[in-house]
Amino acid sequence: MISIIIKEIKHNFRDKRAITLMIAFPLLLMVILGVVFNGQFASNGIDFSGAKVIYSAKEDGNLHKGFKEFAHELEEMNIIFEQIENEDDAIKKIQDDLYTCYISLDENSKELNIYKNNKRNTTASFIEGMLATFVQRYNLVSQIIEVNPNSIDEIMNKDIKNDYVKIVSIDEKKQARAIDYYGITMLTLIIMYSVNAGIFSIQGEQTIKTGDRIIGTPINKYKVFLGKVLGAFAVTAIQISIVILFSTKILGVNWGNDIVTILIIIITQIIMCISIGVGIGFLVSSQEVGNGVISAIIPLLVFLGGGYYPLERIGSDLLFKISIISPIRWINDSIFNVIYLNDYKYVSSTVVFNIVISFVFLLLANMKYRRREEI
Amino acid sequence: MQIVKIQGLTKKFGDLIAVDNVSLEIEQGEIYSLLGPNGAGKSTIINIISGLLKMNKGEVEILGKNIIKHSNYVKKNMGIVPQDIAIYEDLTAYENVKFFTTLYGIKGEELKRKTTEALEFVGLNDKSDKFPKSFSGGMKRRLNIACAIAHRPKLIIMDEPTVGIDPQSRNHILESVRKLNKLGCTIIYTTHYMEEVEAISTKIGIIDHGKLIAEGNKEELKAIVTDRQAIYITVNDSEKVNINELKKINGVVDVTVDGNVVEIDNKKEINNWDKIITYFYSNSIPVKNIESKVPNLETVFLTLTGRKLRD
Repeated sequence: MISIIIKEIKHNFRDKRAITLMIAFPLLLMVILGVVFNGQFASNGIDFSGAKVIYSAKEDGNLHKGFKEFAHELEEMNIIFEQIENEDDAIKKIQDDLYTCYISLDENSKELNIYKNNKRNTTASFIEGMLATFVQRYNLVSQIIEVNPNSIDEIMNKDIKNDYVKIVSIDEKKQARAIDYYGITMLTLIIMYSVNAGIFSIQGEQTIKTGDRIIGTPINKYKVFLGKVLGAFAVTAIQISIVILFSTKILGVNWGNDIVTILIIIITQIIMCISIGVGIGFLVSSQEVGNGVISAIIPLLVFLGGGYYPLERIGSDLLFKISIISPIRWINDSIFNVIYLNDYKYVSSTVVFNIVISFVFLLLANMKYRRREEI
Repeated sequence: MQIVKIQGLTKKFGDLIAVDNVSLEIEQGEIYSLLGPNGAGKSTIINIISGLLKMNKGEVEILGKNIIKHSNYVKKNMGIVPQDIAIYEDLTAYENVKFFTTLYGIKGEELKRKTTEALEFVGLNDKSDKFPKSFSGGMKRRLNIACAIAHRPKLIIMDEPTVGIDPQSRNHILESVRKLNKLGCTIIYTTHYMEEVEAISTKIGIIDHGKLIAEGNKEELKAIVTDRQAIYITVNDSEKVNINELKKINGVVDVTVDGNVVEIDNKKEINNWDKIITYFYSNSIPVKNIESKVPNLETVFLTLTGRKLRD
């Protein structure tokens, strides 16, 4: 099996076209798009200034008081807070894309709910992250006061704003520039093309007739199957590592502080793409047919995933709803949220979804493989 | 010792019966040639023996073991030279042979030695670090063979290994077949080149429409047509020759025209040469040469099937 993996690596690294596509092409795109769209990103980055938030508070109390302080701190970042009485009106305004999010406070139940505007997902997620910090802090203060009511002054004199900022790290350096945005989206785009590596690993052997020769040897056919999948994965992983390294060291793309989580997302995306490729490799009659299918679908999925341009900036509600079908969107959202918002809520679902899709396609491939006529 | 034993082998593709109840036996040390035109069923039989196709009926034993129950053992002891050149253009000659040899479980120093020996055997040792894309068709065919023999199989199956190559490379391959045989390998060789079969075979099976229609060594097969003779008449203008008129002459079985040569399949016991020559004289067709030959395998095939090998 090792010899099959090594052979796959040799094939791919001796194929100048594959190398150009998988390494040079994404780096070139990062640079070109990073430069072309620099103005649009650099001036406002993922810029939260001007974002409008509405909130309602059923009664006045400590929660409302604390929230007002929280709002005041965010207003210094030019995020506008407006109070509203009617919850239905508030939700309607969110649906009409007039506000980024709506926060409802319930003093009795000490509950705080947030309704996000999906079209302004990044900003809404940012505010959600800030709010989570506020809630944590509020709960902590409440508990301390319960135990030691005299400590309230000391606690309130702390620099609250600094705490928020520290946790969500919304400093200038961490705002996404065009190169940061395209550094990630071009990488996730090019990983999608590793579907081709999966297709090639299966169809390529049939095209040059070596597949039959391999079947004529005593090697277990499942070792061949596994060797091919692992080989294609290893090849893509090496290529992508080069792209990440180059984009970080030379282009200065920001991959955030938690590279392990980012890598987990990327690795599962590679596994998913290779598995889809292997599945297609067994389902279609020739490599050309497989590549044709991929060439038609991938650009669409990448567009819906905001790979070429952030979808929320286009402002179409329909497009935003449709974009949920694109795995690129889940992946990009997860990565951006981890890097810029320290928000991990999409990570597990994205990883699980990638693995589930991989499993489905590998299962399909395995079924087709078993039905082949050879002994 | 029996190396191959096939009994009642049948393979259908839909309504088409590609192999029809074929039974044959091959002894150790034989070069067994399967002779037949394209589509006769040779490659289907080879693909079944190689494990690439399942049979519909029958039983195949290699080295005394059933190929389905003991496929691992059988495959370990078998080398397949496929009809299509099956090598990787982006791996060097050495890497190609080494890769396929590892699939037989051979490792380390033994792997290196056997890879080098296989390349030496086919005369490509000086090209071991070169990529096949720079090779001629003949060299690729030789590499195709090296990939199949490095693990030292007891049975080597060669499916039309000389298709589309120059005479020099063909001779090199035929010589390799003889050398492998001398080293103790049993060989199954399929081809539709009659002259190759005549040159190397110890036993021949003639296949047509999926059936084994005759089997034996060259002499045994030619004995089938001892009552025939082939007369080759070279003329200036073959367009004037009326084949149907010639066929009316008593004793003439068949007439074919190839360029300016008129080939007459004639019954030996009937003395009709005077009538044949008279035909050419009376139709003002100048005759440049007349030659009579003993039957060859082509004649045997023509007699048995009513058509030429390369029809």
